Amino acid sequence: MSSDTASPALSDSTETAEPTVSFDVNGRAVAVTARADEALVVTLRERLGLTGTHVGCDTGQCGACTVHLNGRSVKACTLLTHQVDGAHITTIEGVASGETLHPVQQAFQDTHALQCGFCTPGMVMQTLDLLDQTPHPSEAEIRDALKGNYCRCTGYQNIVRAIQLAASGSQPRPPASKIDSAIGASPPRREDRRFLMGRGRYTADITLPGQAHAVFVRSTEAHAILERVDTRQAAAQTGVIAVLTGDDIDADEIAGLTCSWQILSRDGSPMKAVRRALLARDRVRFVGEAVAVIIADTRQAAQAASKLVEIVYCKQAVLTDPCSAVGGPVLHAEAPDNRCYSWAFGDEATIDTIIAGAAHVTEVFLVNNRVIPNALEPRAANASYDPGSDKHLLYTTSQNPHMARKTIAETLGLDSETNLHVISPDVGGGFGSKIFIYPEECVCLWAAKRLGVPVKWVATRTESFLTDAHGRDHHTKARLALDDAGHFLALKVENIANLGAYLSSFATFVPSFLYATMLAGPYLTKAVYCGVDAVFTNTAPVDAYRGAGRPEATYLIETIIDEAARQTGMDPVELRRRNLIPAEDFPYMTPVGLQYDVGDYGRHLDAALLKADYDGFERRRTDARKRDRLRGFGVSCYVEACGIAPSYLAGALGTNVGLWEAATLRFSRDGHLQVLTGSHSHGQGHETSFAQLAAETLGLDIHHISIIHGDTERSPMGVGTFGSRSLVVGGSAVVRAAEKVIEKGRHIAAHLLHGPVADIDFAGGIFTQAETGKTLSIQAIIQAAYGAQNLPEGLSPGLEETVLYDPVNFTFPSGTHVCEVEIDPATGALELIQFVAIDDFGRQVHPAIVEGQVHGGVAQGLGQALLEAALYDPETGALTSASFQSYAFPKATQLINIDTGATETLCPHTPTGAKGAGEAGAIAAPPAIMNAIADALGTRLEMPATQERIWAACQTAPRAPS
Amino acid sequence: MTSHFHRPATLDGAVRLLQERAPSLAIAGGQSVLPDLHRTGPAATHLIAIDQIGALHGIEADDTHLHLGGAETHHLIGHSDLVRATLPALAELALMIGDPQIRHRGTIAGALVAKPQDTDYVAALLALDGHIRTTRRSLNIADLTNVPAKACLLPDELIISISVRRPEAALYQKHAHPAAGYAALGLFCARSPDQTHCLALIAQGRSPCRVDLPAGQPLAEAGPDLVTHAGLTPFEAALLAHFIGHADTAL
Repeated sequence: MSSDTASPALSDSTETAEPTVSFDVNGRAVAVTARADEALVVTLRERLGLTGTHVGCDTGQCGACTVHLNGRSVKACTLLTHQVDGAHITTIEGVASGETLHPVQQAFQDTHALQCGFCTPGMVMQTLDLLDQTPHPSEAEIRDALKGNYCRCTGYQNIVRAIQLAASGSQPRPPASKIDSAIGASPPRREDRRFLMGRGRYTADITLPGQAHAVFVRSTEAHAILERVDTRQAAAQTGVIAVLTGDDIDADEIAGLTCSWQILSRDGSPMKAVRRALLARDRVRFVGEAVAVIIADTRQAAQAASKLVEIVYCKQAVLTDPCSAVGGPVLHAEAPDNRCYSWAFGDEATIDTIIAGAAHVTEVFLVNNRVIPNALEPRAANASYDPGSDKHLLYTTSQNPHMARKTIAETLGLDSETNLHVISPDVGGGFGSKIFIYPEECVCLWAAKRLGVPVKWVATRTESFLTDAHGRDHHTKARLALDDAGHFLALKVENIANLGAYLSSFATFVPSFLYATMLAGPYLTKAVYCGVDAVFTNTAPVDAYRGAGRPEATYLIETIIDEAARQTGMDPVELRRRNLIPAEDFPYMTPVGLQYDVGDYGRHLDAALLKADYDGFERRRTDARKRDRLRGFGVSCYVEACGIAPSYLAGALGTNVGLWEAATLRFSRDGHLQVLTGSHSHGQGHETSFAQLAAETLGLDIHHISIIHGDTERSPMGVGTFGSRSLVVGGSAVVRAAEKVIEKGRHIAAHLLHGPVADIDFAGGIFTQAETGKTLSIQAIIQAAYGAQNLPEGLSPGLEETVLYDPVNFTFPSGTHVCEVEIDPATGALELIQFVAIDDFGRQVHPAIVEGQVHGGVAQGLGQALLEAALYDPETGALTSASFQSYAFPKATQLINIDTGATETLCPHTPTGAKGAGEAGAIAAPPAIMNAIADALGTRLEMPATQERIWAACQTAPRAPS
Repeated sequence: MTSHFHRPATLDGAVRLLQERAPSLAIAGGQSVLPDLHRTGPAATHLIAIDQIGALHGIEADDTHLHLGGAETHHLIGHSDLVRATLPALAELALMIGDPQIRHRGTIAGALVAKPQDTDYVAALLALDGHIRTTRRSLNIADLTNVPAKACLLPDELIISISVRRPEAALYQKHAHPAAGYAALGLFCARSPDQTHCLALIAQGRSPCRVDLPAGQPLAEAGPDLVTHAGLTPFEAALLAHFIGHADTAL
């Protein structure tokens, strides 16, 4: 061993509680005081303002905080600041040369390797380290190097491509003098630069003057009566401003959160609309439910005090299994059988008659496993109150700030929703989980007013696991009746949906209308019945997660078809083909209330099979068998209803909220266009695609257009982002508003050219008088509109138009995904051989963004199928998979590249012909892979098909026929 | 409530701090202790950084053994020319731990203290008669794994170095937990110059175990004993059989 000599920099005398640490950050010498136990990431973010380094977990795993320590990548959450005394630190802010992106950053932009941007700084830092050590890595080496960097948006595919591009040393794309921003081109995303340079601004990055910090005290019991909540000791701690409980909420007469979708049970009775208290009072119903909140000067003080709140519980029997809900321990007095509703759709007697007389009936029981969304950015809020204007301000991680404003204002009993200003700045992924209104954000607002200080809360990853709305959790029995030619006669579905302990914002809508109306799928099934018991259990609330209802329906349909094919000896592809709705049958009225407007389902089925060489599969299967491997091929066809939703339909389905979207187009006097939209982008790239829509419609250079979103005071109207609705509803509003701009422009042009309005044509940014050929540019019209010295009589000056676009129907994207797997029966190890996704999203505005959505959606679908399971201990009700250590979702090493492709039928009612693309992957992928596994094994498994489950099946299952 | 940070320059200084300040916590790479510390919240403690103490560093080999300083990182062990030349299986093992960032900081001693039953290194140490030199004594790997290391090591005791026997050939195989990435199951197989084999198995949450085979005996004969000693499930036993089959070919 080397000798025990001290380096001169070290001495045994270093000791103080908050001494100064000196090190070098991005080439700049800094000296900061830091607590002895302070992690470097805290110092960087809170003391040095370097907020490009992010925090996504509390177990040292996600890699969002990756920085370089003396040139090597490290996680800044597992390093004490005092340990880096004298060291060189590089953060994402130090990577670019001035305003010129580093080639690695440029490669990320050129390959669309980022969506929400939250993981991006860590990814870039890790890539730089990899390429420094391994300049020419193989794909396997790249994926292995990303093991400690989690991404939930991209499926890693384009990140791998970016690294390959950067490693190739090819010159980055030169900045084009004019970017092709036409619809169908994929211009560089305009949001990328700030994310790649660490300049994104997420809620956790926002510091308000004098802000206090909130830490919630959460129930450790799944079901208990609260006998006593003693806050005295916690309240007496230094730095603690207040400890607030449900009693304080009650004293201010705040009733709690309700669900916005009313469902009627089959007997006509209204659903049991239980309220969710902002802080539990009397009783707790799931582990993690907030019981009290500590507001303190620092997060550390709040965290320390939170351990001193004494809660005396009287434990009650715990219910976690939704199938035992009826007759189980009662959660809510209003729902004595634990049913929120018992709902049905369709004529059961008729269906039963059809089934009784059918040549063949296939029955399945299946579970659509509960998953946890895990957007990489945890939920957060920073709330303040200005007594001078009686105005509340909330920065929050919401996908739909306008909906948040409306609901929170109602919950807190504000005079008007305009007394609340909600800003959703950059948001690091949502996948549905950031649609809903949760207690914590409301509590921060309420406490900020009550205490007269801004209140900031940032969830830990553990809190995300425990309290973000979970997804799926359906337990289903279904029967499919077929005639002797294999035609689908009827589908009968009886579903138990686990809603968790309380009703999340959209919870009741997902297993009813969003599910049952999709049960015809892309098929000619003549009759469908669906009965749903939605039940309460002592688990986290369940709500919409990427797809919401449609993945559950698709999984059921595609599973039961394969099962029917196995039982009848038919080829599963042929069985599908025989039942697909033919292209000439559109518009097609389904038996479940939807009118599909357009589609060509056979075309994407053919395309997917061709791309995946289905014809060659049996040969590959035979080859595999020679190597003692089991190959399987799985197909999944889907159609989904997107563009949620025509307001008249939404009203008929149980909400009083209009689901239009708003756009305001506002020209400045110097000819720049601001597009204000109610849609929110948290990875979807609206700042680019919405600008493309405006640029194309108005003939403008995209550089002259900026997109403003996420701020209820700047965009006064809006609904938000969910249900693959942004481009098809929000984007359509942009196009319609642009058309109004053109219409006003035509009036001005006609006036200036001394002719009738009808003679004015508009194309490519130019107004042309048909007869004379005289032209005026849109810039000239803008000048005239604001100059206001020579306008047609009665026309108001300026050029600004607002449209609230209400779609006339849902849009119906469809597609076919296929998957091929190979299984080693000795170990159960599964190899993904190929995954092909052919989707019909209508016209694609920005194909690279669309492809990225498919990659990410498929990755999440594969996660649900192979890895993800939210598990509750049936005895204690504890969530046993409440960290990245125990809850598996796909990492770079667990995925392969997805082969994507498109067919196109244009949506007849959206101005662009687009249909929506965000959820397709998560809908189509699970059955594709599960069918492939079943094909390999000759028997069907439940999700997630873990290696152990596959192995167990190999020990008993009949092998696929040779 | 207030914590104190110390960065002793010498091993003696570190031990003195551990003796005089309580409660205290030694931090080398910090990859296990810091996430725990930050999750459980602030606690009054003395944090003693030992990662830069020279006596805890160094990689050396003699004719029969390889010696690793306790504060050597997984990264350096994995990329050390000396380790790759003398015991490549150990280098490969080190590079299977965690992820690159964790490997840049995490140390072999830290891993042994944090997970004395089932860190990957335990499999190698058990198969290669690992010795652990501490500031107080010399321990066999079995001393560490038979009782939790925190109980085995005294509060002021630090691991200085680890020594392992140099086999003629060796192979480490691991079945990683799909979420955490740690070894749900790990098998280290080593062949000695006298052609005997040692197979050491780690299984998450259970005691590690080792089986020795005389020269000429097929590796598969170690299977049943390993399954019994480690209390493997049938699935784990299947994985083990697969590992052994592969080792039989590779060694």
